[in-house]
Amino acid sequence: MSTSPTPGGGYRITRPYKVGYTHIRPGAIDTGTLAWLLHRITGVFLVVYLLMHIFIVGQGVRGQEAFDHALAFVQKPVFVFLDAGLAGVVAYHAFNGLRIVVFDLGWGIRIQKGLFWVSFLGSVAVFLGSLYVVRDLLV
Amino acid sequence: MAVMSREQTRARQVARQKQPNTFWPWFLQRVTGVILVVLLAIHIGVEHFGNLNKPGVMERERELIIFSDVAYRMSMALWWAIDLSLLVFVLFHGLNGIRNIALDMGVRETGDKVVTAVLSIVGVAALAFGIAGLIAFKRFA
Repeated sequence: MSTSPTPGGGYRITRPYKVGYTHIRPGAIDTGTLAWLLHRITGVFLVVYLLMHIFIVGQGVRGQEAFDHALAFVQKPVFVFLDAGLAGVVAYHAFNGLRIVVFDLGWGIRIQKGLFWVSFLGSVAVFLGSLYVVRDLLV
Repeated sequence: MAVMSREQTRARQVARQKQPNTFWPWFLQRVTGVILVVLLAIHIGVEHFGNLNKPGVMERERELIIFSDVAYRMSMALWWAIDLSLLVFVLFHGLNGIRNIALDMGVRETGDKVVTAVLSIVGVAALAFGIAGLIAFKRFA
């Protein structure tokens, strides 16, 4: 075990350094861990989606027909449903992210659990609202 | 030894371990995140779902969004500003998030440099392709 001194006296343990996801124990996930886990999962999903999105919309570089062809493909009903799902995923990541920023600024520390559930319900509402908005295209 | 001088703090950091550059990525992640909440709300509302229930659009079956819709927006400076800002901010926010995951996994020093370099290259390439895609709407309009 290696240590390093801290200002003001005392020592801090620096090795072994816990890396990875050792704080997740399945079966004992509390609300905060769930919020963090969903934030990370939605974040990774959104990065993958983003790179695909830039690729698809960038098909415009190959001309009008290529763009219209690519867009028509992603307007099949299954993709429209996924588009509504995307809105919900973005909403969750956004609302939870705002909760984190607010927490970092020191406000609302005692009502964190409530704020998380508000953001979660907000994102479910966005998802259901998007489904309603695109209902005609889901057939 | 309650308060250390700048040199002592720095000497301690160097002696302990070189920390990854911690302030600006952390700060910009939050700044871009807050801006993105607004920009993405506009983007999804107007560009993904905006054509719904517009007269003349629902009759075009399976062609909700076509080239001329986007080209029309790309003739306005406002949409150029929104789309370019979106590209830059979302690529930074997302790829920095991936870097945070790598840091959580325990990369330090050399690993951090490699990860940052790879992510930067991906980011610049995606940004270049995205801008080329936007320009195409003026070129082929």
